[in-house]
Amino acid sequence: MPNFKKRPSQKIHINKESFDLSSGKFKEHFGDIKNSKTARYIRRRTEQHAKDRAASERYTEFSRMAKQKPKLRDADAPKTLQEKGTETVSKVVKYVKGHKKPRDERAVRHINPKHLLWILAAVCLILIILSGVNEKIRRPFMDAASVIVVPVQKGVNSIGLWLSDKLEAQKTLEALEQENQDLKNQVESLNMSLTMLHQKELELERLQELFKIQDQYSAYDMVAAHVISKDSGKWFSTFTIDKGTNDGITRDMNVLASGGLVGIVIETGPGFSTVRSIIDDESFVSAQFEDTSELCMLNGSLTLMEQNLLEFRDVSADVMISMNSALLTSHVSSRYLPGLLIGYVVDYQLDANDLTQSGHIKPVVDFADLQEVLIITKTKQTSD
Amino acid sequence: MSLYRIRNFIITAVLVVLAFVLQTTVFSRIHFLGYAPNLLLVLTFIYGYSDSRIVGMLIGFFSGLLMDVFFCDVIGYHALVFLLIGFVSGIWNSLFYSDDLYIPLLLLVLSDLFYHAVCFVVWYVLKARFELGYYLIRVMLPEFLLTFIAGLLLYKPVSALIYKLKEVPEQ
Repeated sequence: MPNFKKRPSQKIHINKESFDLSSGKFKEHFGDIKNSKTARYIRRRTEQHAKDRAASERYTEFSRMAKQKPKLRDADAPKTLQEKGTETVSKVVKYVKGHKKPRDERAVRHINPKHLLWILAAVCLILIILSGVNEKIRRPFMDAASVIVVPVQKGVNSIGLWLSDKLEAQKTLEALEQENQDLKNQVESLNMSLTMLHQKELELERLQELFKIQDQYSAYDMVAAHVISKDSGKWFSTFTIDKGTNDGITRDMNVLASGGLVGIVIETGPGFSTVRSIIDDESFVSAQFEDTSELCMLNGSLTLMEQNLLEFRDVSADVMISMNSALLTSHVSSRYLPGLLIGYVVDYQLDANDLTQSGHIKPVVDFADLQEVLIITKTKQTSD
Repeated sequence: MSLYRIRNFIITAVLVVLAFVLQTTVFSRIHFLGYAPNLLLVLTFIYGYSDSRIVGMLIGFFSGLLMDVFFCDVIGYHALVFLLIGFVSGIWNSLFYSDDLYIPLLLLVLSDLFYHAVCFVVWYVLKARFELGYYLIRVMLPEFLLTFIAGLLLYKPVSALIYKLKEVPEQ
């Protein structure tokens, strides 16, 4: 009958007498102990002990000198070194006897940093994948942010608005008079155009009646919101506003400011929403020319962001494009409501392939200075 | 958990939120700058460098999550990058003598460079767009400078605060 019993592992008994503290070496050979944790610890400690021994030798030398020159006695460094030396020895003996590590004084104990790195990296990767697959994964994070960060942002933002109001109030009387005059002139001309518009509206109604068209996009319900924070880097052009699901905001709602399209709501939390502006590098808008109704693709780009421009592409070569013609959101867009003004053409050229034209438009919105925006509380999906 | 650890936790959390609000609400409002220093990165770096890998990683992870929740469609992207920065700055802590100001600032700039390089690769090179010169001058350089200045101003006080917090009060 062969012996299936496991060979007992070699037991090592180490105690105070097993190694020579003065030489820093083991008195006898202990088998395959070289790479064990104990051995490494002892090796490190004995090296330390050797250093400390040298230090204490220096100390005795020092104290011998100190007896001759009593003033040197004040220096306390060698004394602590000697104390440290004896402490090290006692720690080694304690460790060898009880196989206990000395107490760790760090803030977060019992965690290996490498393990934590792998765990958190895995969490990040899982979140990246999940947020690509399912949007609901954002919900708890948005809720937490609404409670913790957004109130602070709102507070800071209102302080900023108050300050800029105060600065505004410092304008001189002269400037105000000038502004008043300008505004009066503007009112005059606006009144003129208003009467003209009124006539045109009557005409439109008459024609609509005639053609039985229902003007379904004439009036959208809108909600106003403040911009509370902007991405600080230049890589993204997204910002957050202080209205969220509590105010009826949902994903894919269109955002306007000063009469033009700003962007689209990409995420919503209870007290805030994230908006991607149309000048963002990731943004694509399906648009059409107001005069020719020709469709094109508008996209933002990091290089054009600085000049506050957008790029349009894929307009067939036989279409006449005129400078300053307006671009509106198109009726084929899946997310943008049709007929919203985006901007005006500033330049265009024929592409190298001789088949398509491309160019740039200037948005009506000044993206560098956005403070308040309007959100249309209607999405394209529900209106279909 | 003892009382002083709870205190340290609260102070650190307040610092992170403060840095985020300063970075995104206050600095990005200053119109003539248009850029803001990456304070969260500075904070992550200083914590990793002055405390330990673990603290650096935790701060990096949570401040990255903040950035993701507010400005990124992918949750976990900034968190991963900041996590690595926190970990590596914790390693540097054991390699360099930490009271010197020049080495931490150099390492901070390296961390910022890493962050921008990852952004560039993930969002641009993968879409086959390589206008590196433009990005370098108009996107990275101003933020580099601002982050460097922020590091210069913040390193001493924040690391002093961290060392102060690490002291265990006598029972």
